[in-house]
Amino acid sequence: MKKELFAGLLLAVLLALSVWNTASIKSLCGSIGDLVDRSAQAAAREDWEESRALLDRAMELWKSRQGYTGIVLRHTDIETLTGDFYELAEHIYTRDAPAANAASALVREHLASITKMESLNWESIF
Amino acid sequence: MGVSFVRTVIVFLLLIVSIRIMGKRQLGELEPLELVVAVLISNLASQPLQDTGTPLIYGVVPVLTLLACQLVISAISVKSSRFRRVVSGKPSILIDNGVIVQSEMKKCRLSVDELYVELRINGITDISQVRHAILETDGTLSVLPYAKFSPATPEELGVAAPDDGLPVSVITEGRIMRENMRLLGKDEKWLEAQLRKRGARSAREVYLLTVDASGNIYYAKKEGVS
Repeated sequence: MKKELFAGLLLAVLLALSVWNTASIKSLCGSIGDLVDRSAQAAAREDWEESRALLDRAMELWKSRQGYTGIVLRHTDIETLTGDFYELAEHIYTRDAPAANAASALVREHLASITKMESLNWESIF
Repeated sequence: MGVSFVRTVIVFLLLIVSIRIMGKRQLGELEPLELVVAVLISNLASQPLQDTGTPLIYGVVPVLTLLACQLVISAISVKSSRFRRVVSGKPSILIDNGVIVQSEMKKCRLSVDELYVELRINGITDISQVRHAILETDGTLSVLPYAKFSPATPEELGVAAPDDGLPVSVITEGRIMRENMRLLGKDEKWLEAQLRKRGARSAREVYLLTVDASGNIYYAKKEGVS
């Protein structure tokens, strides 16, 4: 009976962890996406200081959670998004507004793709 | 992670249904549930090992999910015979009172040749000797011959058959099994006497020494020991 109880508990824990993980990834990608959005808006206004500060915060947040994302996300996704961040940073640091806008769209697209892949919906399951 | 969990549950259930539909002859001495878990676990576990870019959790979550599903389904199967029938199926009587049940043979998609193969594996060459042949849920065939074709037991022959019980190892590859000696109620003195009787100077010279409940001793000396 103990074994069966353990199995039921394990299934419940796995389900709970899955739901928590989905929410956690969604929240992380949402927060980073929000900072990237605001950074892109600042870049569009040519407020480069603000844009850089917001992007740095977004990158810091992304890097600070790499212990967690390294466990739950495919490493290729992590590397791609990190690369996208550096590309966006390059355009903001060189004050190239159109390129920064395009690069920030790419970052947001990858963030949305990660959120979608980790979400429990028909598309991601099948 | 959530996607891995849900996908595993779906594939697990799908495979159980598929294997149940495929029938017992596909099983090869495993229950459908065991076969599904065995097939899936080996593949799932190897994926993160082969690709270091895939987090280990992509293998761990499905394996744990399968383990838990298997334990839960086994537990329900023990409690409910109806559920057990759904998951594992029920035994099929292929020969009933010496008559081949053709409808059941068709249902199990088993040919007469295949039935003969299974009977020969069970030591039977003449189908008329078989009273019942039952295809079990794990795909094995249980054969029950008519009483007149069954081997006679010592009881039927009126012969006394001593029950020697399970032989217990006292020395294995030179090592004395003291716990086993204690269970047998033997001591070192007894062992020394047995070794002396067989020309061994110490336990190190012995490969195997076993004793059964009747006190019968099996002794094998190590090769190369004079």
